Amino acid sequence: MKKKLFYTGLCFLSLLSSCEKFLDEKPLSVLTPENAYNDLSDWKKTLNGAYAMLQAVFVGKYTITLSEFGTDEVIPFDMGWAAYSELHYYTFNDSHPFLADHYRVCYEGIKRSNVVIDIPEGVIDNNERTMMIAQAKFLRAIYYFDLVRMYGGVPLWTKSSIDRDEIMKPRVPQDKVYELIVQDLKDAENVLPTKWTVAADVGRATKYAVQAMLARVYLQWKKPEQALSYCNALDGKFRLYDNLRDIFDPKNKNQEIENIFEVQFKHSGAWGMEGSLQHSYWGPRGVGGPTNFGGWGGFGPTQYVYDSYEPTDKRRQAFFLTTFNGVPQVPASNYKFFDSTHGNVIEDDNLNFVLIRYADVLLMKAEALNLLGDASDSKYDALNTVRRRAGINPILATSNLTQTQFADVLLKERLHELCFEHLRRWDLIRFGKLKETMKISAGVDIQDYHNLYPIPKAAMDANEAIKENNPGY
Amino acid sequence: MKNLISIFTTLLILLSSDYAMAQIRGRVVNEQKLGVAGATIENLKSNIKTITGQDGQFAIEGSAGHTIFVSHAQFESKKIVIQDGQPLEIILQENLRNIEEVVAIGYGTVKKKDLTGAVVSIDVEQLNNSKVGTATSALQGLASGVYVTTGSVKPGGDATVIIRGQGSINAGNSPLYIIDGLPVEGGLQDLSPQDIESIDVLKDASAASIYGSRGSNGVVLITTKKGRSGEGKLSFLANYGTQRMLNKQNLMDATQYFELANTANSNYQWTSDELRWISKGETTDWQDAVTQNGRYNNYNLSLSGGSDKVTHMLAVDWYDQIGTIKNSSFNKGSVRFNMDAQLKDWIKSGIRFNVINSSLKNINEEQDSGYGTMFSAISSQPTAPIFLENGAYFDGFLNTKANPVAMVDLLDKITKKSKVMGNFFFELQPIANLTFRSENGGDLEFFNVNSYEDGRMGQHYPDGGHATKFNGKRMYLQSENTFNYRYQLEAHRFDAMVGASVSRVTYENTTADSKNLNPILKYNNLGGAENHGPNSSYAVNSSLVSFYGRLNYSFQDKYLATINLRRDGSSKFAPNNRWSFFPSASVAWKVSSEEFLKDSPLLSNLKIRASIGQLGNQNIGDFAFAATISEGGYWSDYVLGNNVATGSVQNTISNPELTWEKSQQIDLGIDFGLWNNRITGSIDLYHKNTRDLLFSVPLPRESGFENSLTNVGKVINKGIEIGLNSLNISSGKFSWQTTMNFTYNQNRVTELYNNKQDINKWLFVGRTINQFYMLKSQGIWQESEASEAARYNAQPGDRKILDLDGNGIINSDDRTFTGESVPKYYGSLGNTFRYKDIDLNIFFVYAGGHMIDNALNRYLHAFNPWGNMSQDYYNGYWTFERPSNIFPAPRLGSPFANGDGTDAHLQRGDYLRLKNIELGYSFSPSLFNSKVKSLRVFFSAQNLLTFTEFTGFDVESSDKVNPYPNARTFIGGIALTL
Repeated sequence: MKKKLFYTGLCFLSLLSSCEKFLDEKPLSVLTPENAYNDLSDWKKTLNGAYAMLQAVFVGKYTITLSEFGTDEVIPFDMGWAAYSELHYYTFNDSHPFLADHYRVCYEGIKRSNVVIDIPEGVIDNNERTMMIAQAKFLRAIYYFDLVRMYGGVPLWTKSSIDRDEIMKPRVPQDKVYELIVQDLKDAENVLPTKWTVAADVGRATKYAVQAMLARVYLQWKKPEQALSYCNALDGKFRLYDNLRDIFDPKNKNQEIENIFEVQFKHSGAWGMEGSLQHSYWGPRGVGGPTNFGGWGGFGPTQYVYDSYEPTDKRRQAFFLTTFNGVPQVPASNYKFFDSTHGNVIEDDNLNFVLIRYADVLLMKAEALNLLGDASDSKYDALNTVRRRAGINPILATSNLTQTQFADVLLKERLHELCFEHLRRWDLIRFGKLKETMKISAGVDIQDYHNLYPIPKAAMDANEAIKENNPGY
Repeated sequence: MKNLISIFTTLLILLSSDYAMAQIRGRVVNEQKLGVAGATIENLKSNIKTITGQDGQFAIEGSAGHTIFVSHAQFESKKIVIQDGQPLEIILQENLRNIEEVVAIGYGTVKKKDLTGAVVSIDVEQLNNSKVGTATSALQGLASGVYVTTGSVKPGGDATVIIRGQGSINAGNSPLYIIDGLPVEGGLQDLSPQDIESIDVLKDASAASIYGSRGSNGVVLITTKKGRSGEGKLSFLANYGTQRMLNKQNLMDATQYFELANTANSNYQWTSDELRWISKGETTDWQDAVTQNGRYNNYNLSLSGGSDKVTHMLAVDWYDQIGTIKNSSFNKGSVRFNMDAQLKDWIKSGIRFNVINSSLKNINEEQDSGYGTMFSAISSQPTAPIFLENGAYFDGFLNTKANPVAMVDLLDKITKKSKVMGNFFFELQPIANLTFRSENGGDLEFFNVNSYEDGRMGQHYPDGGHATKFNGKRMYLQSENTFNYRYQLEAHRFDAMVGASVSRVTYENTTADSKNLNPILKYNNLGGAENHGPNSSYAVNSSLVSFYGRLNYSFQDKYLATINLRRDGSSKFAPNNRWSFFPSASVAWKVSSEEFLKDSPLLSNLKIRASIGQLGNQNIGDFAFAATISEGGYWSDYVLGNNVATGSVQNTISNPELTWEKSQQIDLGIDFGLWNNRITGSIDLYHKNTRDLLFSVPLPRESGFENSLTNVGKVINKGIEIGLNSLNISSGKFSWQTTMNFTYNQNRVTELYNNKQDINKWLFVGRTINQFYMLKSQGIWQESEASEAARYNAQPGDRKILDLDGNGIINSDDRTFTGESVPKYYGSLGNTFRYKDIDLNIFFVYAGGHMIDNALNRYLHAFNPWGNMSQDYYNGYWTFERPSNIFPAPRLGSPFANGDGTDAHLQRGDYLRLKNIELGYSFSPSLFNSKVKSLRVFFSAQNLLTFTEFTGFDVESSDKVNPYPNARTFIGGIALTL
């Protein structure tokens, strides 16, 4: 202050003297690149920030149903909201706000991951650096995977530096995106531990999480052979919970029994913090909203999905509510994401989002084997492990299903086991059944090009190197 | 005093004598011996009054020895004892302000007749047209080119001012307010209107460019009152008023609501309390339950006076308002002390000192307006009782809404502000014609928001209560130093000024947040709470250095020219882009001083002005040019090991090129006076081209950065301003004066970035920045159109949206231009009538050419599964038997039912409002002893009538969803001068 006074005085006395120094104010409440990254704890915060976008990509207000709307699984009840009805009826265009939001948060995650991946050598402990980079690559792969399955080929950003002259990057073919994803995951696979031993690290990416994601990615990329090898790598590393309700119970967070990787949330005491909004969005309807363990009621499972279960299927009981506090739920509401302790707080429940679990790996394994024309009983074994827990009859190898018949069984099984877990849209597309299913389940006519969403208009407008949108848009 | 005594004695003598009355004739003139029209002549003996005619002529009954009292707004009043011998010639001296006839222009004053720029001097008397509210809101309608928008009409709510249209999209459009040389943030809300001596609005580039980088949105200069030498003066003003809420919405009662909710949703869950309430035939009118008659009062006491060398003014003001929503109120106390002293012949000094303390008790204005006080009251179901049988607040509202009555009873949200503004100056005159003036001062403000949300307000609030405490401190310091030199060489007159300023703002705040605490101690003992956080704090500093100069030149008092130069350096920009230069020039020609017009009976004044210049706008966040990295918050944090893991994120990339928005303005104006200035006025044409807009240019989304603040784009505002003042009738006992102004402004974006439109922000080249861009709704799908409706996944009874691109799909491609949100024209019309001692003032304001999105109707005029709806909806909703083309059928899931994204709830915003009608009576000074100089009593009604198609709570205020209702106010008051 004394200095400032001095310069003030100086300005006074000599009107012509430079007052540059007086004008040198420094930011007090934000950091700049010059002072933000000094030691390990600073760099760790950048990694935490990269993880944070998982919450936005999978459980954001807009992203939460992007893999469910427009399928047979979930229907928006609030058709009065154009953003909902457009996704259901496939009348959206490239200005849809949910797509713009999804695209943005994915690349936000990529930006943050790139900062970690580009940590210069020598500024922190090398072992720490390697571990951090491996986690960031896992994250970057997840974000790019979400982009490529939504929009097809997208521009690749793999560096943290920004050069204003090279800021417009064109789209690359879909395969190039997949190549980067697979490379990132493989890099991470070689480094990450199978389990984090320090309690404070629980929730970080593990080698198993990477392998499970590799299986998912390869399968979507139509490379069943590689997918199969990663499913096999997880053999015996996980098992299914006996009780279906244990899968999503917040008490069982991060046990790594069936659940391989979970996006972390924590009830925080106020909305807009680290709690999740799954209960408030999915909760039972007509009971007075989230404060009564209910939901906003904007969307929910279709009658179609509920009716498609065999009556004896335990999952119908475990995953659906047909009545809640005396209020009938028609169609049944989602009981998977239900926090019996904190679900009565608005958008601040304690539920993790299970990104990938062993039941999925088993079904992927069956799918890969079927695609590869495997003649052994293995694919039936994998399928039946899942069916057995659900309390329904196994499908015997002796039933001799054709490849197509088996695929149909599998697709239905995936619906029944994995509904609402942000998989249905990609399953239907992978099995080539999106168009057919929408016609049958919802009476909505769609086109083949609807397998891809349009690159959001906001992104098209801002990047001159993207000349054309996906066909049909 | 001596004078008064002699007058008084004369009066006494007169009272005891009895002279014959005769017609006294005379003429009232100014010092130039020109007739003064409209002066009031009163015979204090008989109380007969008259008013001077065009040439100052008058005739009044009276006789020698009678005292007549001559008064006129622009002159010092005078008492004359009639002597024998006629006719009388009464010479009036123009009063202090008019003698100099000066106008503040920033770092100095200029005689009004020598002005070259577009400056409006507001008639301070007219501030009285708005008694309730702030000095900012009182500016409404008082000057052409100055558009006042009401933010909120809540007690303590403020207005915003836009001068000559919105030039900026992201850097703010608020003018620079300067009170006695000190820039103030937040307008005039803290200033007591009674303290104001003059308001001058600098509108064009020539006038405002002396404020350079802050002048782009115009400048409002306030000079506060100071004492005058001579006899001391004591003024006392008291106002008291009552307020009645306006435009209560006509909603369904419990029976209607019960019926409709059951029709639309057979699964509707009634709580047992509701069923009991309905069975008793009860209904709850929530609007009535949370509102009341408001009350307003204002007291002002001022003492002023002085000797030859020292003058002083002390003013105390108290403003107190109780709102029309229960438990909302505002009060403000202010003390001002102004002093000027002539220490020696060549040295002068003075201070301006103002202390203000205010306290606002607010309604709930939660960002999610669904929980706002008034919105809750409008939308709560009428079937719900206020209290349960056990006396607790009912808490079974739809969509987790709060109990409106519990909210007004229990929410404790107080905003307190303590402010000290001070400025001291000294002025030296070392040699003739040269003065040096140094003004140093500052503004220290403490701002405090305490809030306690009681758990009983509703399920949305934590059971154990939630308290937050926000403390902010802002200090502004400045030093301004100027030299002024006057020089005259025959017919050439020069007036030059150079100066330098430095200023610095330091700001800091803290927020503390706690839950589960003692409901008695509330926010005053956060330490006792069970849960703490999130807490936060913030600090920022900025500084500004400026050099400036001005040259006024006048030749033969007919040809005038002004040049302004200013160079500003601001800490808000990167080191290489800190400095900028803001020049302007203007010329004026006093045509009426030319020989050929000098004796024109018609044109008494004619001046033609022209100006051009460049101004800046530095209303931009600090360090907007820098890349910043923030830590913490849900956007950055993650959870690891079941604990929050703090994250950090780079949010922006740097743009060292960032600089001021600049506007280039051209102004052409004429000032005129007709028939010896019975009609006076000004007409201005302006063209304001704002370029280098601070615009958030989208970055490629793939970079992970959304946008970068960049200087691109242009907005042009052009318009015409007309201000007129006319003395229509001035004869005998009656006078009628009219003032009016009119402004038309056209706002156009002429360039954005990369030749693009910005559809998401509704910004289009060639259109206004206040454009609505929406789907077009056209009534309701009817039964006969069922098959066409089905194409769009709609049914008869659903809202019909036009498929403008005809592709069989309704989506955002079908949007179109549906009007603009800011008035294209606005103005006011005032009429003042005087008859004898009675005065009547009628003041209208108007605006139009715009649309208002009446967002409340998305709930009231469509089936609302979350709350009450309007009577109109109940009586008009679509059914097969009763097709409607306005109100959609009450069907859950009906597309576009609430009209979101469509123009269904746009209403024409044009209005005409009788803002003030005021009747006053001035007691003749002769009624009192010599101590009383004047006494006026008045009665005023504010917002008595409004003509508009808009159906929401208030056509002027900006919050439509959780509005504070406007009120009709009836005020009585007295003004006493001793």
